[in-house]
Amino acid sequence: MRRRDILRAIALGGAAVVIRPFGNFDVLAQTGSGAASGSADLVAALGGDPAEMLRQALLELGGIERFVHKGNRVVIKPNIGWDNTPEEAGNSNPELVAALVRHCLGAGAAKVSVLDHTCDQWKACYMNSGIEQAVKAAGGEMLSADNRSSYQQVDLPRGKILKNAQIHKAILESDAWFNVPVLKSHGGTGMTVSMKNLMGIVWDRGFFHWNDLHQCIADICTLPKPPVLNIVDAYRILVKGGPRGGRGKEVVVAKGLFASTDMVAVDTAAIRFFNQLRAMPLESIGYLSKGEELSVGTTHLDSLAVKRLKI
Amino acid sequence: MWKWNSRLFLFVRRFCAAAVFLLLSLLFISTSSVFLQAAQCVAALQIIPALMTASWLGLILLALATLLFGRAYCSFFCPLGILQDLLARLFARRKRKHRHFRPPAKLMRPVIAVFFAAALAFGNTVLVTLLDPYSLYGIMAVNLFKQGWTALNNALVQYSWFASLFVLYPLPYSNLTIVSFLTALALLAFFMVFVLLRGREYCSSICPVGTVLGWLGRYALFRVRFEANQCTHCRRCEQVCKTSCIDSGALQIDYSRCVLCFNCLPVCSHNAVHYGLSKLASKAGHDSTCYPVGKEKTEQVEDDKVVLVGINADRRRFVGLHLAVLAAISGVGVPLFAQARKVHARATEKEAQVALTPPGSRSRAHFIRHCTACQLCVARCPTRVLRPSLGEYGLLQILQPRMDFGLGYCNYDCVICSELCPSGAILPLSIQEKHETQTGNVHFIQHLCVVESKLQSCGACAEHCPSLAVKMVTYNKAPHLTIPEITPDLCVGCGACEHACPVLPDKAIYVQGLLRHQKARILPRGQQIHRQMDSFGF
Repeated sequence: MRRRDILRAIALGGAAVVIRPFGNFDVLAQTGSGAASGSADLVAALGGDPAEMLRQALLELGGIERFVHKGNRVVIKPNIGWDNTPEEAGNSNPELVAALVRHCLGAGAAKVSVLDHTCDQWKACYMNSGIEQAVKAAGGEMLSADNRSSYQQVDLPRGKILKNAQIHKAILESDAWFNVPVLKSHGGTGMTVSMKNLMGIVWDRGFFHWNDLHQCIADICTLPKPPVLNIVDAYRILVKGGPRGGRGKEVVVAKGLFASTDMVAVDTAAIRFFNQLRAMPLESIGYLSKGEELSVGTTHLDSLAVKRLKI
Repeated sequence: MWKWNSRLFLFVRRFCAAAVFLLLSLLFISTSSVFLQAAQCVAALQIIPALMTASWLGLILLALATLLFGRAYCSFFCPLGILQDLLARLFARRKRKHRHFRPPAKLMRPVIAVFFAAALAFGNTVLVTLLDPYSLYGIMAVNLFKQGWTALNNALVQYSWFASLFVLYPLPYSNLTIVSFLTALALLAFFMVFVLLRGREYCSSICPVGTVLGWLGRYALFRVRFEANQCTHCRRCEQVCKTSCIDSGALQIDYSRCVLCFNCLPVCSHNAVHYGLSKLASKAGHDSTCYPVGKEKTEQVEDDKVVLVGINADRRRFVGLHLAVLAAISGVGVPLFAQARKVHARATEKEAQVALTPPGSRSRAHFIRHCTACQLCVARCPTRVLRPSLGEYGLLQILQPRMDFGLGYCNYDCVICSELCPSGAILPLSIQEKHETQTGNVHFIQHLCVVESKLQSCGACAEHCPSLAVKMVTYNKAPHLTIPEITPDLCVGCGACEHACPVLPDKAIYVQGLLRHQKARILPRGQQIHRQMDSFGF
C-alpha cells in the first residue's frame, strides 16, 4: 500500500467520524427553525386569554411560518404530567395547546402530534387535563409516551453528567417540535418551566433525580435538536405546592404567556414574573446558571430583543 | 312433550357459550369499556364470586335454572367449561378416540367438594383459587391470553410506528409475576392434556361447583332422555358424550354429570335422544329409562357394566386417572408453596414491609377471606400497581393481589378495581371515599435520601404525592436545598412517593401497609385566586 493510500484512508476515516452517521444526522435535523429576521427574541404577553396571547406573540416572533413549513410533521410537548383538571394548574392550558395545533395546521403542517411522558397514569392525564379533547377537536393527534419501545437513545456530547438519553422517537422524527410548559412551583427544583419540561421527552427520569437534578436538566437542554419555540403557559399558576396540583395547593390566575426560542431566557423571564407572586430568586434555580454555562441560552434579558404585550 | 330440532339446541348452546366467553375475555384481556356492564354481570353470576358476595338472588336463580334445565351452567356459562370445549375443538385430532360410558367418581367428588367447602369456611385459601373454575380461567386469561394479545398489539405497532393512530399504541406487558405466569402455563397444559385424553372429566369428577350442580341436576325437570323403542343401541350418543355419562347399553344417563352440551342429540339417526320435559315429572308414567340415576340405580347399572365391559380394567384405569389428577394439582400446588415459603422467609429477614391491600378492601382479613385470586383487578389496573402476591399475605393466600410499587402506584382518582371486583373482596368506593381511605402509612428514612446523602435536589416523592402527606421544606443543613417532610395522617398509602424515589435498593421513602384501613385526613381543594397583574417583573 502506498503512503498516499494510507493518508487518504485516514482522511476518509476522520471525515466519517466527524460527519455523524447518516441516520443520526437525519434524526436530529430540524427544518423549521429559521433565523430571526428583525423580530423579537422574547415575547411576554399579559391579560388576554391563552389563544389570543399566543396569536399576538407568534406575530411578534415572525409568524408561525418561521417555525412550521408546509408538509411538516410537528410535535407539541406540553406538560401533561398529572391527573389534574385544568383548574388545578398542574398541566399546560388545553386552550393554548389546541390554539397552537390550529396555528401549525394553518401553516400547512401535515400532522400535529401531542405527547408527554406523564408521571401519573398517562391516559388519565391526557383525558382529565382536557388536552386530549382539545387537541383532537383542533385536528391534532395524541401520542402515547408510556412505553420504552417508543424511545431511542441520543448522545448528548455537551452534557456534563447526562451523556446520553432515551428520547421519544416522535420528537426525533419530527420536522419541528414545540415546547409548551406550564409555569409552576416545584418542590425539588424550585420552579419548573421550559427547561425542566424536557424531562417529559425522556424515558428514564430516575437517573436525573439520582445524579444532580439541576445539572441533568441543563444537560438534557443541550439536546442537538432543541425545540423550535418554547411557549410558557402562565395563565393559571400553581404558586405553592407544585408541581402536582390538587388538594391543599394554591392557584393564581395571572393570565400570562412567554415565548422564545431561547429556553434559558424564557425561563428567566417567567420566573421573574412568578417572583411577583412569591419570592423566587433566580440564584435558587440551579439549572438556569448551569444551562447558561453550557450555552443553552442566556439569563441576561437585556441582551435580547424583548417585546412586552398587554392585551 | 316438546320436540325441537336437535341442532337448534346445539346452536343455542354454542351461541350462548361464545357470547359469555367473548364477554369475559373482553373483561380480562382488553381494557375497553365495551359491554363492560354485561361482562360484569356474567362475572358476578359465576357461582363462587356470587357465593363470596352472598348474592342470594343470583345463587337462587342459578339453582332454579339447574333444577329446571340441568347443569346448563357448565356448558353455557362457565368460562373454564367453555375454554375446555374450545381447546378440544382446536386441538383434538380429527379422528378422535370414541369415548364410552364411565361410572361416576363416587368417592372423589364428595371428598373434593368437602375439602373445598372447608377451605371456603375456614378462610379463603389457595385451594379455592385452584379449584374455582372462574378463577382458574381468570389466571390463565390474564397471564397467558392477555400477554398474547399484548404481544400481537405491540408487533402491529412496531410494524407501522409513526403512522400509527392513537388507538394503536404499545401496551406494557401486564403486571404478572413469574410464579403466576408459570402457574397459568401449568394449568393450561394440564387442561390441554386432560381435555384431549378425557373430555370434560375435570367438570364431571373434580370441579366442586360441578359436583354441587350435579346434585341438583339429578332432579332437573328438563333433561336429555331416550326413546327406548326407537333406540338401536348404536352407541353413537355415548361416543360423543363429553363427560362419558351416557350408558347407551342400559339406556341410562348420569344426570349429575351431564353438562348439556347436546352433542348426543344430532348424532342420533333414529330420533331416539331428546331434550325435553322429564316423563316422570309430566306423569307420563312407567318409562323406566327416564329415572334419574339415584344410588340404588347406579349400583344396578354398575352390575350390568361388569357383564358388559369388564369393569376391573376400567376401575383400575379410573383409580389411576384420579391419582394422576391429584398429583397434577399438587404438582402445581407444591412448587407454589415452596416459592411462597422462600419469598416469605426473605421478607421476614429484613424489616418486613406489610403488604398493602387495595383501597376498598377495608382490612386484610376481609380481603383474603373474599378474594378468589381471579386476577380481574390485576388485569384492569391502569397503573399496574396490583400484582399477584407471592406469600406476602401468607402462604395460603398466594396469587391474591397486593399493591406493589415497583411498576406503578395507585392513582389518586381511580376506583376501577373496586368497581370491578366480582367477589366483594374490594368493595365499591366513591372517589371522595377513596381520598379518605388510608391503606398504609408513609415512612421516611432521612439518611438514605438523596438530599442528605448527596446534598442534591430531588423532590420526586413530594411531587408525586397527591395528598400533601409528603412536602418539601427547607433543609436545615443546606438552606439552598429542600428535603421531604411527611405528615402521615394525610397519607392514603398510594405508594407514589415510594415508586418515584430514585434511591436503590432500599427506598428512602416507603409505605407500610395497614392491616385494617384507617380514615385519612384530607385537605380542602384549593380555590383559584384571580390577580390582576400589571407588571412583567423584568
